[in-house]
Amino acid sequence: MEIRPEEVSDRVSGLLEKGARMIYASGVDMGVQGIKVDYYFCFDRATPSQHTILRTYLDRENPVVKSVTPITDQADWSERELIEFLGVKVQGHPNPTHLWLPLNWDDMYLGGQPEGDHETERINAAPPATTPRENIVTLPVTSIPYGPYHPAFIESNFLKMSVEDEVVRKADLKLGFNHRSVIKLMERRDYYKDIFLAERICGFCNAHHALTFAHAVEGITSIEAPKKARLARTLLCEMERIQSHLLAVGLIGDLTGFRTMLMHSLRVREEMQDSLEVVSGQRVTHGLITLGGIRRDITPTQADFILNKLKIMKKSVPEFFDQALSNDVLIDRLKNVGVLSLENGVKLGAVGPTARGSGLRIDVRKNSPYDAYEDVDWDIVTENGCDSLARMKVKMREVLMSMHIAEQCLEKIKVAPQELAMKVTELPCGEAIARSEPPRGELLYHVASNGTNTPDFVRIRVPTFLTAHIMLRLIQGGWVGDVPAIIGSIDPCFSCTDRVTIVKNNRKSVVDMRALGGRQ
Amino acid sequence: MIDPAWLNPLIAFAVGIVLSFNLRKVFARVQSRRGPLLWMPAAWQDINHSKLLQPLYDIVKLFSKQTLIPHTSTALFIWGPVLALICALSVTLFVPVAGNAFDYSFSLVVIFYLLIFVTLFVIMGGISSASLFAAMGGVREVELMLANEIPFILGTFALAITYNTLSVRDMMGFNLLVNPLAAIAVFIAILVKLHVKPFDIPEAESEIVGGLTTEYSGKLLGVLETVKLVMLFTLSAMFVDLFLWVPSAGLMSWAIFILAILLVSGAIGLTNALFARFRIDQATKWLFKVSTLISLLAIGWAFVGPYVLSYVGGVI
Repeated sequence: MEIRPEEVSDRVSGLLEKGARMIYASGVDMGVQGIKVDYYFCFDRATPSQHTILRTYLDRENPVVKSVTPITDQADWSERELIEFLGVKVQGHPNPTHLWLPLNWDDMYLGGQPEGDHETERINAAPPATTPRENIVTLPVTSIPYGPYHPAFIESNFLKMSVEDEVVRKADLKLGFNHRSVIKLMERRDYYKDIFLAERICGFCNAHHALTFAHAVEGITSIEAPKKARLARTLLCEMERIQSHLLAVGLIGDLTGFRTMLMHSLRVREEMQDSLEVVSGQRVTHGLITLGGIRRDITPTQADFILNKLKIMKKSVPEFFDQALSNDVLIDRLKNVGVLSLENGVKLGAVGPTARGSGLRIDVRKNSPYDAYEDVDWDIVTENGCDSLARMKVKMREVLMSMHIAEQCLEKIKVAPQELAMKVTELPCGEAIARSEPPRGELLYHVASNGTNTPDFVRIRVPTFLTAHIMLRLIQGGWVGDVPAIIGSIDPCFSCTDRVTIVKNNRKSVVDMRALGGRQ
Repeated sequence: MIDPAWLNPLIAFAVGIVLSFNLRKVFARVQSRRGPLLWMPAAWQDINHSKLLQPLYDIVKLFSKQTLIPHTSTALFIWGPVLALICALSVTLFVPVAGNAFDYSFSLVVIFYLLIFVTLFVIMGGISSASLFAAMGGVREVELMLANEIPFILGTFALAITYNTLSVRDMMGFNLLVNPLAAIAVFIAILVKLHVKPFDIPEAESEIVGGLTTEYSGKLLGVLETVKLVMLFTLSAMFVDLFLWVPSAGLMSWAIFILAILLVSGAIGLTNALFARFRIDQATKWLFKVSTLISLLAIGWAFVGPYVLSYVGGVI
């Protein structure tokens, strides 16, 4: 639906009243047409499989749009991304600070001149001459830095909290230490290579990234994967969910000082890693999914091997969960910590286990089913505790549910027809979005084709984009000792979040990667 | 002749290494890991050797590294660990090792003070680094100490009341049967003093990085690690002396001592593996509620117990 820039606020609030959830807002520099800004909505709680995209074109010389963040917080980070990477002037944004780019970004690249010679100019790597714009990183408060490298995070990012007597008053997050401009790289490679690039965005949900990209492209060409491929994709996704959730549950234990729990979760998880190795030959990236289907067959022998492993896990996993949940100290650490009430969950646009831990029944697998999820017997897992414990329990029960799904898929794969992939003969001009449900929440791909062998543009919204925003809210007002428990229960994946954002402007993206590698 | 008690510090360091190994091994086995190996097959010898001395290697490594001193720190940053080590080594002189120690009629009080001084010097050194994490670790450490000293002192004084003395040697014996409540209270207090889970709050690495030792490196960190080893030995030995000692002499006494101290360190390792970490407010509440209650009951038992026992004996 194409609208004029002035109408955005009204239309957004109208859609939200109808029960829509804002997924993302992204901008694309379309050249003569101006900067195209898309607002993605879905109606998870009311009508399944219904999406609305509001599209507006901004003037390229003076891109001004009114902020919708005052209407809904779900747009907060999306609009900050617009501000940073496309230079869109979002009027009325309550907190327009740097999220990805360095704080002294203006100094570094422009050297004080708005239109300097970008080709020859070296980056100004000196400390900022003027104090950067107001940001908690530079605010004069007693604050605790978490990062860029901190034991509570696996990935590099910078969480800073101002504290008062071990109680967190304000928290802010700085990303971009590992920024890789993946979307820009995708626009330069052909579709088959993009699948492998998408797979490398994240270590845990790599099959989902590849799958969603493949779905989007399949949507453009209007082909559908054969039955066996759909089953195999479902199986791979569920196996990935099992290994990711088991590690996440173990990490909650590690972050609350329960190292034994992490070690045992790794022991239990090893069976699943072996199975993944049998399916794809690798333990981390799998390279199984391709456009129109899968690349390699899953033989009945392999299926039996995995079924056998699942049988072992059906015994060991519940045993491990029972042991973990019977530890009083761990329960005390998680109970009533980081409470995200149902209303707040809806308002902030929570997705994935974070939403389901607050009793919100949303799951892309059910709401807009893809692949073989309609053919298998399963249900959405929800908990009503709203706290970190509930989020952990959701993950635990989802592991059991995933094993159930995987078993059904394997039984069906054994008797499915042999066809593995449909051939992609031509790729018409057009665009498509695809959604899927990685372990951490909802993943959105928007791919546009211009008829050539490379995509016109790709936009990715990863789950952590929303959940990390919620995480900051939950941290505020809690104890410093609770911060790791909250981080663990939300399980943010910053490698996804960092890599998906882009610098549309060619000149900038080249220096950007170099600069971010060495700074701060 | 020189008193054999002068050897106690050396024994403390040597046995402390074995205890640390034992702790790591138990910790690893509970986590279904292999842990540091005691013995390796001959085929592996050129790759690796026995890891019994791994705690020693760790300390030697630290002593061979460069020490960085933050420019914000004061002189106490260096003196804190050194003084803590001196205090820790001098405690060992008063804690009987297989019965050898300097013993006075007030040695229990001396041990209390020296143990508190060890903690205080570590705190002083840590917070003088002006690191934020060290400051938070220091605050947590002080809070824990305040909550923990009461049960520790009450638990040991329960024995002092039973034996009517403050000399450690006079109250040594298999007192686990005489006053089991005191044994529980003192064991919990030892866990807190050694920062064993669930009480490792001052050095919770996922919350405040390294706590008090965040800014320490190289030789000073080596000194702090040595203090930890010696403290592990001292507190385990003290528990053995007070609660698990079987009166004996000569080699037999050494055998009993080593066996009992391995048992205690194994129990500490097991506790370390089985719990998550308390939050600081939960820990202090728990210590004030449960631990203090147990120690008060132990004191009560020390007063009432003899009468009850003699009454029961009379009835039978």
